[in-house]
Amino acid sequence: MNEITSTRSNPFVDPSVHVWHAEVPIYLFLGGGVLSGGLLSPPAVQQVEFDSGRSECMLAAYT
Amino acid sequence: MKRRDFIRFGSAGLTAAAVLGAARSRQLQAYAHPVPDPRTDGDRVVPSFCELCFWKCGILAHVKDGRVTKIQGNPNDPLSGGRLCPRGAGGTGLLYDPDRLQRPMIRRGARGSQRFEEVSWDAALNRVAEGMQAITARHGAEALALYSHGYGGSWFEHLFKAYGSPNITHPSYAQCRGPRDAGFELTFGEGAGSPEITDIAHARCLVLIGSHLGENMHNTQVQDFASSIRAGGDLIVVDPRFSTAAGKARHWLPIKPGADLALLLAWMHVLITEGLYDRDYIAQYAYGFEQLKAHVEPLTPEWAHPRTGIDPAVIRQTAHLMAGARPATLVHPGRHVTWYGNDTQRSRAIAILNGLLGSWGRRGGLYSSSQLEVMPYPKPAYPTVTAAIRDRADPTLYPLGHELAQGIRDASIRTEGKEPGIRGWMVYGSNLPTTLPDQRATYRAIQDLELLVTVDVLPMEIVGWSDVVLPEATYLERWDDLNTPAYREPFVSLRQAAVDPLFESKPGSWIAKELGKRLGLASYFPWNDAKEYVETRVRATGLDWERLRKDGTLRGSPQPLYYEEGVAPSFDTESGKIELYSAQLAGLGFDPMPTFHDGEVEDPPAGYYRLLTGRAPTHTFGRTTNNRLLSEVFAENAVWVNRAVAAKWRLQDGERIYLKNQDGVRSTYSAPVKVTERIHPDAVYLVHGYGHKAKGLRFAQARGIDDAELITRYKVDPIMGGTGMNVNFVTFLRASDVDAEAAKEVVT
Amino acid sequence: MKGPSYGMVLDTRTCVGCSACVIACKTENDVPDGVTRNWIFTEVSGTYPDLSMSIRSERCNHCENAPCVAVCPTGASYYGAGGTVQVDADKCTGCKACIAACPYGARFVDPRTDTVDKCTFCLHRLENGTPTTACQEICPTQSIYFGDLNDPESDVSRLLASRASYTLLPDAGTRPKHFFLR
Repeated sequence: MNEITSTRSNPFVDPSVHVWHAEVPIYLFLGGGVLSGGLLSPPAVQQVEFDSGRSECMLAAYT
Repeated sequence: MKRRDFIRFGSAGLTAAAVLGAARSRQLQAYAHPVPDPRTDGDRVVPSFCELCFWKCGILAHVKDGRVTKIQGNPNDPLSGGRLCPRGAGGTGLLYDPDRLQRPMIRRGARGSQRFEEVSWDAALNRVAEGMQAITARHGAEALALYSHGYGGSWFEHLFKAYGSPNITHPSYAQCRGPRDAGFELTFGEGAGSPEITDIAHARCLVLIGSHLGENMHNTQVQDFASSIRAGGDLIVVDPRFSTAAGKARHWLPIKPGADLALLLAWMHVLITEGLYDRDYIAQYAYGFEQLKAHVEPLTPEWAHPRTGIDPAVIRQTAHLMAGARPATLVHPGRHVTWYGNDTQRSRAIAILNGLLGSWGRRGGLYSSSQLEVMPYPKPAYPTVTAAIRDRADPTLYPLGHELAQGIRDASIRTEGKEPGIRGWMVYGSNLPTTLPDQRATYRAIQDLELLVTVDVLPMEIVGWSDVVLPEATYLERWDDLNTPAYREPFVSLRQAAVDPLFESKPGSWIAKELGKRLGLASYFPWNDAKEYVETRVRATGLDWERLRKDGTLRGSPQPLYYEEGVAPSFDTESGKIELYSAQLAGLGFDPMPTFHDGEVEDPPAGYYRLLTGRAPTHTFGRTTNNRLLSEVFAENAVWVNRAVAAKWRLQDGERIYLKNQDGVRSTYSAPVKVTERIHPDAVYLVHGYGHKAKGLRFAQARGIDDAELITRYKVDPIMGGTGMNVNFVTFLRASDVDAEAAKEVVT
Repeated sequence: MKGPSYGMVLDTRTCVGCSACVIACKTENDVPDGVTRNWIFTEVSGTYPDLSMSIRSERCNHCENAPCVAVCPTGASYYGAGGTVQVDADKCTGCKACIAACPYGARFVDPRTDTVDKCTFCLHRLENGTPTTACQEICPTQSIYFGDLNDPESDVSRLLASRASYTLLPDAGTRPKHFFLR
């Protein structure tokens, strides 16, 4: 019988990680493709940034 | 496509890009910013000493733009050595506590209604002085009492001594360390000290009886504890709970609560009958060996086994371990020892055991302390007080006890038409309802008082019941008297303000002086302020004032610590020797040697469990549970319930329960259950300091269970009046049941 | 001549889990309310009264093969000085892919900026001339050691050479640089 306690209580992380909203798998997918395409350089990042919020921007560029 | 496939696909792409990625990451590094500097270093760094607990560790307060950003340890300080416990590190959580008392207040509603009017300092101080003088005119200064806990209380003790009241009391005596020091004084002629004169770092075998170092965070003690572990010393922990210290022990003895004395006597039996004690040391320094030998002769490990629950083989094994390491075997005196009402005798047993091991005055045992003498500030002599302290109804009781805080409380209660002997209290930094056992008696006393004045930083329960509330500035905002403790080396530490007092709060030194002026005692406060007071003392002693201000601490010349280094053995006892047998106790009608009386500590009734309490490392009882910074780590206490017991009651881990004690008193609030293997099945455990009721403590209020309200019964040590509090038993009430009942009452 | 490789060693024998490290980190690094860069992990095994306990102070492991760096789409997560893992808040979009990727749960979102934050091994202190982390400096049991794993004379190297140690999730392939002495 194991008793485990942690004093950490960070939102999204504890008691378990729950950040699997839509944007995360997209990023992981895009991360591979974009890196291979060499698109992810600082100027490219700036190109896809709009005013309406960063996570929406990345999706908007590819939908 | 499943999520897992996404990652694999993505990472395949990433692997291919890894080479590219590595190059990319080096390129990215070229763009990378240096690690951002949070810029919390102060423009000024002020050395001082802490007041989150009572150890007084040297700190460095970083001040930036008028705010304290962070607190570090002062490397110059012998107590902290530049390291701090979490409480000291979290002092900004007290300084910037949004619930701090801000302005003086005078009660306008009924006592306890918490209806106050904010007033000027002048009005508040005048009210206090008038109240004190009115009581004195009718009943004498002996009808006033001061309770004090905290270093800033020294100014108020001075005030009361100048005023001529005999009733000055510290709950840290009869509610905490008193029995321990009585036991050690009876044996060695000297108490265990604060800081304790324990040479833990050099102990080859450290024995803790209930002491939970590591959760009790007296900084230096824990630092030394770690040193002892690093040096490979053996650790024996005797505790009904598997504490942090027990987790590091070579031997954890899960003793039946209340049976420690039987174990200590059985250890003495083994050491004596097997000739493992320090013969030369005992022959040279001890009195009463033959009597002790005869006394413990029948008290075998087999005798102790059914009483303690500890296997006789383990009792022998641990005794051998202790003997093998002597004289560097330290049976720690403990600190909060007010458990069962026989605590002086149990502490004396610990002292005697140290004597048999030859550890008193020896390296790795208990050292000889030294203290830096600093000249006092010239002031008039105190008036002679002929009246005795009014802390006991019968003056023949508790012959070795002085200043019993619960006695002062009891003397304040009106009984059967008899007028109380104490009419007015001044309370400095002590939340009496959660400090003294029998909370209802404390509230009864408060209601019978003619005057209750509190000096505090936070709106604790007692503040809500006061007539006059005087908001003190925190330790970071004030100067206080010099700290010159008796320690392993003589030194002096300075407390100086890092920032100005917030709101209308004032240093205690100012409050006491202003009261003194209004009470005709101006001559007793000849200093302008605390800063001038300490500077005068330091310069008069010939110490370097500028260096003290800069370094926070000045050390005296190191003194010998042990007999081996030349300390001359001397024992301030009647016989002039270590008293294994106490003729003094016999003469007073008490057991001359600690004696285990079967049935003295009763078993819990069926369905009830003994309530044991202790410390969390992030907290100093109820003082810090409103500190939001510290509470991020430990916000609410939980009831530790043995797993088998929880199974029997079908309690789930995390389920909320109320506790009800043997007198039918139910906890006001609930707390979660911690189902654990780590507690003796006869007992439950709570960290002390939770379940605050005061509405002003907006974070701490209603959080967790207040053990103090369940400590309705206490057993008084007949030798010195200490209040044994581990004599209450609790049963469980499911929160869902209690709340359903309450809901029904509302409806009907 | 290899550059430094910064790592941390935690002595579980002396760590009492007091959380001084947690509070000191918060005040040194201005960590906001409700989140923490380090924490205490306690594990108790066995059945009463045959119990054993392990206590340790944990934080980001500054992995040599950090999944958080690999998944970061903007390069905000990167390898900084001494192979430490750092976050450039200016580049962080708060997408939380790194939080999902980290098997240790070491990262969190700073609610003030909506960017990701975590232990930095107090490199700002190193840059300012103080080669100790805030947690190391405060620890009353001297259980925390920070230093250069590539320097055989450093405390961290000596401790790892002389005492048994372990890392967390050694099979995850992250190659963490936070070690725990048994």
